[in-house]
Amino acid sequence: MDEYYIQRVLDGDADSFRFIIKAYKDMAYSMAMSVVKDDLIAREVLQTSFVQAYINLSSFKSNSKFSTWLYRIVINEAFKVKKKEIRDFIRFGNLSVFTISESDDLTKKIDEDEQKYYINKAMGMLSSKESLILRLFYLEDNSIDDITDITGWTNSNIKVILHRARINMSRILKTDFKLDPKSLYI
Amino acid sequence: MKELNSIDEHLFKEIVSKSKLEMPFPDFEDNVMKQIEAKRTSKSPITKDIKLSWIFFVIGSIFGIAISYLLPHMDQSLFGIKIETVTLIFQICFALLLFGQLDNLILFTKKNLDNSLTKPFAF
Repeated sequence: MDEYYIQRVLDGDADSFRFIIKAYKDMAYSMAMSVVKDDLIAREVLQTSFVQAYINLSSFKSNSKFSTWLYRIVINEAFKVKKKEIRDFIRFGNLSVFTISESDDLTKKIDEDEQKYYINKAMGMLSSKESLILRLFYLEDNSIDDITDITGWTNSNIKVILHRARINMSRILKTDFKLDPKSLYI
Repeated sequence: MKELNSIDEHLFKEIVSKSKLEMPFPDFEDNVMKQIEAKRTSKSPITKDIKLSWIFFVIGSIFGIAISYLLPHMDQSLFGIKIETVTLIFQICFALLLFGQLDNLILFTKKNLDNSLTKPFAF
């Protein structure tokens, strides 16, 4: 389906690009959020990325996956913007915003929306690289080799980040949010 | 540390699957399409200019090389200056112009037709 719309765009039908945006915007947004941790900045990143993808669509080689090509643009743009950003990102050690009072009974089964809320908060507290790798690996079912293609990082580097991300995610859920990860699994 | 890493792979996949975010801006597609339209209209003249610049650069270079080749074959002097001197002056000027303008043209083309988007980000 991608090839069809890509060809139409290349043939001059710019409006077909709307289908490509629609198909990839959510996953691309998740990736941009992994890196920049701010919804408004993520939107800017995606706008720039999609425009760049449109302009450079002719350089996309159809023997590779379009998603890999597009996500690489998004990730490059996100890290470029992040580097420029002066704002402080909420990271480990600065958890006041997310502190949960002792009275909250979080050991009980929490509903789907709450699960998403806490998981995304935890994702936000991971480093950019860690949350990005987690999403690429578990959300998109990419192999380590695919992630290498998307990010340009080495295989071993990705494995190390993935391992560290799993540990940190578990730690945040257990110690910072006092959640039993199994309670998130319904 | 072992305990922290005790969440099994399947459980982890389930947890991370809930971290997929949805684009919260309903006007996102329209904004991108507007930007694309603006780029489309502003991009065509510059692409045309770049093409023209390269065409004239190549034509100029061919003429320059032809003159450099033909000048030493002239028998008479030019404005009372020996033809060897004229050739030397012309060739120096031509080389300076050629390399100076080539550099400018490459930089200008790169700036406007940046295809380096998919190169890995350097940390």
